[in-house]
Amino acid sequence: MTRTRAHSRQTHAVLDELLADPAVERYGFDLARATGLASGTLYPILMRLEERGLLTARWELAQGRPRHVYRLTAEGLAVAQERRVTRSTPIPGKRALA
Amino acid sequence: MRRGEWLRAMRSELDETHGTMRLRWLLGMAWVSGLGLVAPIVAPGVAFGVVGGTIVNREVFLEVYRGGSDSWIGALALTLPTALVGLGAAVLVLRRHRAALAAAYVFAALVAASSLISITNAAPVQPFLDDWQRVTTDPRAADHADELRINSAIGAIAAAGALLVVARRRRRRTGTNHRPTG
Repeated sequence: MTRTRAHSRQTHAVLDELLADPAVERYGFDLARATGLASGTLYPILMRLEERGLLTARWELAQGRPRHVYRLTAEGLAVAQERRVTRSTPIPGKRALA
Repeated sequence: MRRGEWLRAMRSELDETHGTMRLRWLLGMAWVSGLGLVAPIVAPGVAFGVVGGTIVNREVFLEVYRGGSDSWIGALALTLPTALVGLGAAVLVLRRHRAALAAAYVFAALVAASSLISITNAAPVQPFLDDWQRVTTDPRAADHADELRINSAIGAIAAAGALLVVARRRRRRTGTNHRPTG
């Protein structure tokens, strides 16, 4: 069972990036560039997401070189979409900054 | 998936980096690698600390026992359960057992209670150390008794805190604290 837990801002950035085109497999350096996260921040997040079953990882050959690629699982997709909706929903009673 | 596999993934992307980016990528690899060493270092460290502390303090207990006082029983009743729970918690954390976090919390609670007693020099610590100062031939017994009280408490708090951090981190990473299968 996966526990529901508030994700960090960095984890949201990774989930958002993977959610942008869920069918496309992304690799670490590509995600690091897109999110602006350092590898020491990005990889522990990917490891955690994979351990929680929100992400699948596999090796593929790209230009003759092995590359580790990532994609959201069905559960990961649901969680990422739910988080995005939750974050975009304004908090009742809280006024938007002018 | 094992940490080595993730490091291999990072290594495979190193060729795409240049200049300071490469240095940062390498630092990231070192960081990810180091994170994997925290638990295997902290948990055995706590276990060795518990066993080592028992061996170091053994002579103090024996001197009080030989001196004919029973105050060692109270001191042992205070320290032994804490030491055993600490040892057990360290093993559970190392094995990623589902009870690891609960054991780490119990260890932390026992350490908090026994450290408070030790630092405030309350019973059963005070009668035990008073008896030891009375029977020992150590010329600096008073200083050593204070060092024993304070250093043991500080060491135990550090060990329990480190173990709790590692246990919480492991649980957070796995969600259920189970070792992934397959």
